[in-house]
Amino acid sequence: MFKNRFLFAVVLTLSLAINTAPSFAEDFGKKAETFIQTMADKAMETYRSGEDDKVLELEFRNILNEGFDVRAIGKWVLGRYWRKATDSEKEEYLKLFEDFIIVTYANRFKDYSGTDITLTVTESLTKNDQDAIVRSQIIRPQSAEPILVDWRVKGNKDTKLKVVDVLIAGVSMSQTQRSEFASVIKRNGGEVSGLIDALKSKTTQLVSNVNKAAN
Amino acid sequence: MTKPATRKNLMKRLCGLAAISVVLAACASQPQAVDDENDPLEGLNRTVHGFNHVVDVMLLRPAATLYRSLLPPPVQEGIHNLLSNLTTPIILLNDLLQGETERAGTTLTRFAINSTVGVLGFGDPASEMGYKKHGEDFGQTLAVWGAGEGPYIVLPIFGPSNPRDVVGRVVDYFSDPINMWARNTDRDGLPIARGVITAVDTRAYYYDAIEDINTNSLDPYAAMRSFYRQKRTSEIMNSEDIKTKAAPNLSFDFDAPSPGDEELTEAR
Repeated sequence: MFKNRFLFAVVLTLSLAINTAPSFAEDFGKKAETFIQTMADKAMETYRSGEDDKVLELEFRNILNEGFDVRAIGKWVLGRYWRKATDSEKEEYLKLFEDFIIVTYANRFKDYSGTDITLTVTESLTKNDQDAIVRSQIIRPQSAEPILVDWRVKGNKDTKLKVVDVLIAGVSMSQTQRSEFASVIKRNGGEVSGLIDALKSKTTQLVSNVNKAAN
Repeated sequence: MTKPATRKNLMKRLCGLAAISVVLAACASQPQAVDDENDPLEGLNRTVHGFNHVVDVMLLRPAATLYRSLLPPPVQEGIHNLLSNLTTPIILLNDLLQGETERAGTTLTRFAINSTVGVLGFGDPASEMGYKKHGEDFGQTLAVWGAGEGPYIVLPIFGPSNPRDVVGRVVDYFSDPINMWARNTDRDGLPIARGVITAVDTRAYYYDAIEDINTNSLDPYAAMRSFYRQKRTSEIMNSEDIKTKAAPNLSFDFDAPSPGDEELTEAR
């Protein structure tokens, strides 16, 4: 008797789950909203802790590595040239891209996150149960006009949430970078190695700027 | 120098406008692919971009730096608000031309509130009352009417543009009542002064974003091009107010390839 009732309960739960399947996407949206808010709060808290620049940079690096799918971004940003690249180029590129994106985003975090800045998630739109856009507003003390920031969040294979794109006032950072990288490659005779060299020198320059500012 | 805008003149202008619109509409809009830069004049554009950069470094950037260091942020914002309040007629006209009556209502309400309570537009109390700011211009109207953007162009001084937005700019200039009044009363200095202040205000307003591109970008020209085209697309789609529309209206295509589509980058 108990067994039957148990089975009945299982069947009921399953059928309910199937009936409400479309709302999984909404659940993902809610999950993504929390994920972004938590990450932003953590970043702002780090900033307010008032550590010196070197420590801050390291903390931002951790937050980015944890919250962003840097490899997926890197691959997509390379676009059609990904297939043209040799295996060793791919590997070198991805490594450089990781450094590059972390330095640039860490700089942005530092530049834009003043002590009184607040990021508030406003809503989310879901494409499916693994893909959502989280809309947020950054409010700065010096201006009444909020900055609109959209976060494209996807669930990876381990169902961990990762940011794959950031859109500031409707402009996609990944799309901008993709277009930029394609232009660099085109101007270097269609060679991915040209981009690798450019990335190398740019990252070195940016890192040395950060170190200079820290000392 | 200035001619009084007689009715004949106005008719001529309107005819010219209609003709331009027809030509633009003829190059009907096509969906833009992710990697289509649409930049056949790149060589020339890069030269102009280089020239603009020099002008920026020598004139505009120092002016914006000075402006930012002299005026406290609330005053800067007040001037920014005041200048946008002055563009109300253009926004209203284009709201109407696009059939956006609700937005036109918002524009009117904003103007009424901000010009009075907001002291000639220096403050923006309307935003706090829920009448959020939005931009509109004739370039966007042409897009809504179905005109394609045409090739990317970098204009001297004015920067990134395209034929559609060049036409839009010219039409906006001539349909601005303040400019009309200044022309008809021989106050040529006024639109020029307004232009200069607007230029400095805009440069100061986007100061951080421009610094960001110039320091972080591997190819600032390509970054600006992508930035401009995406920004215009998002403005045309009025993507800031998705909440007011039934269908989610995004600044970009949800279905377009995006990072994380593993198969797309590998198998194509």
